[in-house]
Amino acid sequence: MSELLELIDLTKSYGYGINAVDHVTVSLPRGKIIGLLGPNGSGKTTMIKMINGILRPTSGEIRVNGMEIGPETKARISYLPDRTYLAPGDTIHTILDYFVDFYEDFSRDKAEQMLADLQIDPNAKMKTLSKGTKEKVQLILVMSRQADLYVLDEPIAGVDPAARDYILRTILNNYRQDSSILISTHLISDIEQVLDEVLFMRLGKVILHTSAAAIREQQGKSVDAYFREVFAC
Amino acid sequence: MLGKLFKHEFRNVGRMGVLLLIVAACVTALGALYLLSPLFGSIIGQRKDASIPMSLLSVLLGLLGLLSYAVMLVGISYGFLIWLGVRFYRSMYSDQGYLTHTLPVKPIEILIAKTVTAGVWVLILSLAMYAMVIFLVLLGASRVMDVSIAELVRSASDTVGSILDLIKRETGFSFTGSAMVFLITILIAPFSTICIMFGAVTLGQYSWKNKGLMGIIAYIGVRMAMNIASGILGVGMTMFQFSQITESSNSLIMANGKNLISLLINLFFAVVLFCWSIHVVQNRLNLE
Repeated sequence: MSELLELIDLTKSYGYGINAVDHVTVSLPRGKIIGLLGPNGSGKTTMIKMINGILRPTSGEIRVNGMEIGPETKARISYLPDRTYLAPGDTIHTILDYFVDFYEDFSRDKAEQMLADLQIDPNAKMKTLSKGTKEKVQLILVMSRQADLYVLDEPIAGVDPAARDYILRTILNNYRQDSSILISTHLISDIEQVLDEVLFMRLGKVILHTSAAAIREQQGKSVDAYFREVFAC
Repeated sequence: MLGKLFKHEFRNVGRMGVLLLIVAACVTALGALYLLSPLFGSIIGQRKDASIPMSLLSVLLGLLGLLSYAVMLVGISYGFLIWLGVRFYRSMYSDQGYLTHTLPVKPIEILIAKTVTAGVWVLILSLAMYAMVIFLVLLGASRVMDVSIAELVRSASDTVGSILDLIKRETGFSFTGSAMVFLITILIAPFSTICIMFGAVTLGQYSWKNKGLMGIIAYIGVRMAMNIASGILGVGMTMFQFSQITESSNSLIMANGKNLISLLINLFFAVVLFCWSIHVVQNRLNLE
């Protein structure tokens, strides 16, 4: 079976002579949680946006399950962006209807259960929620799908430490064993224990792709400590 | 999936459409009450309302009411169009675009759903407002002439029919073509207007910064281009018609031709901008 996600010589240029993503070739397997790690401006979000089809590559290819980005791949990728993308005037209830209609793999029961766990009122309008609660709602929507690939861009950046544990548990408890999760974050220590693999990015290039276990064994330090060493200013 | 897109678009746009329809209907009802009131009767000098003195103030108030009504209808029409444009920009090219463009649907389906839904609602609102204005005019005229609306419509139909027959006899000009052009324009204009507006907003995506502002500038540019094209083709047509002039030719035929040109230019720009929008969303989408 082919790799779940393949990036082949992927480049995104914004026209200033600098490539935000610079000839990246990488394959991500099934059944893994992969940390996409790098300092600000390293190209993580640009790469994620291209994987999700909301940014067109300047050159190169992206394949999900062997298919080019399109409706078929979007049906298999569950994406959490680094911003609030839900209409402020919509209630959570309306948004659940929307997800039920468009994503065959969306479980309304699971979403409602998670909302109840976090004591979020499904009748509340998005504009009445705090920033942290909005992020929780979005994560619930994303993790209530049975996707092949979950792409989470800074999923725990805007929430308090207590909620982070719940979110991480939510992520771990709600994905299929044959699906993969690509997580971009700065808060490495919070997610380190769940990572199978890591991708280090710098200036648009992937400078390291290895397993978290390999870093611990070969470098004798945690992923967080190694990251700080590699990207020390 | 197209059906589901339509369902959600109609529901979201419909909320605003219905709200505006209710506002327009309420104001029309107020206008109708005014036209049926003794105050209006005194202005038009009906005998049974003669006890209420007509004053300059009441006449001015009546005129002000009519003016306010016209401004309100224009405001609703343009306000709705602006709301649709802003909503399109937000749902396609701002943060909400992250949801829109990660749906498992083709870009053309998204554009069709948004364009058709907006066009249908503009058409519904336009037709409803035409009906409201016609109703108020008929009501006012029936009171002024002291006849029932049914009688008024019958007599107006007869009069207009006679005038049209006379024009046809004298000039050979038939209004059937004009009526067709007018009808097609009414039906197609909402969709072409939406295609042009959404297309211009999409053209703004070519800019790296201030994409919303660039969309507005693109819209102004497109409208200017349409006016120029309309002007050039209009002059060309006039010259051609003068060269072909016969006894049966007249300014009415020319006016009809200009309307047709205007319709065709609208359609041409609408189709071009719609296709261009598909190209941009499919191949050049770059959400910030």
